[in-house]
Formats: sequence, structure tokens, C-alpha cells
Amino acid sequence: MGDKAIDLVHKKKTKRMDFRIDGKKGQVWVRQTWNYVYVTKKKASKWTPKEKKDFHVAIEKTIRKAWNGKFVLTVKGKSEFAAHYKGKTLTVHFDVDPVSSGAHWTVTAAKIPKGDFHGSKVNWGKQTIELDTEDMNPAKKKGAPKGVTQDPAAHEFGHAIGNATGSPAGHADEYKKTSAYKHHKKSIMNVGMKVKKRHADYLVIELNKIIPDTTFVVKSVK
Amino acid sequence: MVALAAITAGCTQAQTTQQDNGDDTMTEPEIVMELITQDYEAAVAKLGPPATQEDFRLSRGETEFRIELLNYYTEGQLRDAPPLMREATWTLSPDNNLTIWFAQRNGAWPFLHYQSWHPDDDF
Repeated sequence: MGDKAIDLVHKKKTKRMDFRIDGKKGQVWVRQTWNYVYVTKKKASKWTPKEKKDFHVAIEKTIRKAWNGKFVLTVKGKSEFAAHYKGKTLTVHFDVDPVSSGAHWTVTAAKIPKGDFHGSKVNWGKQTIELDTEDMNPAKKKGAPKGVTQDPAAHEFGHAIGNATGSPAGHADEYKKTSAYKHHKKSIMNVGMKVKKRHADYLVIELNKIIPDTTFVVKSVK
Repeated sequence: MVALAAITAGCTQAQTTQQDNGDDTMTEPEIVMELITQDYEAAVAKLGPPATQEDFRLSRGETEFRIELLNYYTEGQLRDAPPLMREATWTLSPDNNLTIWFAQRNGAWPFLHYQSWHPDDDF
């Protein structure tokens, strides 16, 4: 059976991200659109157009470095798609695009003086993200093992792909005393940068709604 | 010891709530503006006992939730004499928590910083 007989490309739009399963390339693309609101804190100068553009480029670079190609999926089920992918894998990739309207997320970008601190956060229900101009810099967090740092923007993006309070995945920040994963210090949703299989839980829930009789499973994390 | 006495006194006497004080129509910014020059005891007197409270030594590498506290201290201060913080959180409404941090100074707990946040915010 050739590729032409099987529909290998499938898409789905959701409130917080869009999915594109590209069976021809062995890739799943998760795309979010962000509508930026720019603010300045303390003595930081006003945002310039170039700074706004550079900020997004830097944030997306940080996100992709942490998350792109990490999840390796296998496919099970009775569908033609699953049969085609028997013994093969797909990898998951992320794309974030700035838009001026109709965005999945409203992102408040705070420009702060170099070396200052500003709290970043994500609210799944409200579809809001708060980031700042220091969030691309690796930071050593309290409790992190020796030599382990975290890129704050990559951690916050982890919330925006489903590791969030109110998400069906059912788990969020892992550094909290109440987290079942509080001892996994190297995890990106704790105080490190290591992506774990569970961090794709929400993505898999949505992927499994797209093609009938087709189930995606995280085989491994690169 | 003085601080401990203050905590005990604050918790036992703080049966008055914001509503009891007739302040339930105050907005959160108004509450913060009133408390910003005051201390932990005044906050408990105004808002009642906090829903959660924790004392801790501030250090580099705090989580995003506490990270703005680092703006108040130099690296040397954090390294040589980590300040003692009191973090107290009040539920102002189902959609609004108010956390105030107080920094221990001379046995008292003056206001240092605050954060308004939604219960579903992830930091």
C-alpha cells in the first residue's frame, strides 16, 4: 500500500495550540500563536521594535532548544495510519508565532533592567503567559543538583503545553512540596532542564482524538 | 522570641476579618497601599489569619513565585546573612490570592513585597 492511499497528514485546532501530524515526515508539529503585550518595569527603557522582535526570536530559540524533537512517539491501533507506522516513530516539534489577533495565548513581556528579577507565570484557564527579558538566561534554582540550571522561558512553556493547573494532564510545577515528582530535581518542570515522558501527557491526550482508532504513545525522550 | 510572641498574638487576636472591619469594599490595591508601610501584625489585624504562612531564609535561586524578593538584596547580603522572610497568603476571593512577604528586622516583620495571583497560576 503506497502513501497516496493513506491519509498521512492530519490537523486539529484547539483553544491553546494547533496540532499537525505529518506522517510523511515522521513529525508532529505543535503550533501556538501568541499575542504580545509589552510592558516595562522599574528603570527599564521603552521597548524598541527591534527589541520586541529579538525578544520573540530569543524566547522561541530557548523553547526549541529545550523541547524540540525530544518526545519520540509510537503509534498503536487499527487504523491505516497506525498500520503504516508499525515499527516506526514520530518526533514532536514546536512552533510559536506572534500574531496581532486571535491568538491562543496573551503573553505579557516585561522589559526589566539587566540582572533584575521578575516573576514569570502561566495561567492555563485564562490562556495567559507572563515572561521577562531575563527569562532566556540559565538560572540555578534552589534545590537544584550541582551544575544543574534552568532556562525560565523553557519551564514556563512547559506549562503552556499542558503541564499546568487545570489541564487534563493533572500535573504542573514539580518543585512544590505537594508534587509527586518533587524529588525529580533535574526535570524541566522542577528545577532542571530534563524533559520527561509525562510532560507530553496533554499533547498525547489531544493527539489521540485526531485519527480514529489511533493511539500515540511516548516511547522515549531524547 | 519577640517575633514568636508577635505571631502568637497576631493569630489569637486575628478573629476580626476584613468584612468585620467594614473594609470588604476595599480593592486589593487599596489594601496593599494601606499595608505597605505597616507590618505582619497590621496585616493580620486587617485581613484575618492568613490561609498559609511560611518563614524561610531568602537565597539565590528562588522559584519564580518568590524571585522578585531578590531585587531587595545584594548578592553579598544573601550570601553572608540571608534575611529571614515571612510569606503569608490570604484568599481575597475565589479568583484572587494576595501574598505578602515581610522581612524580619529588629524583632518585627515590616512589609517588604507583595504579589497578587490567581489560584491557578503556575510559576
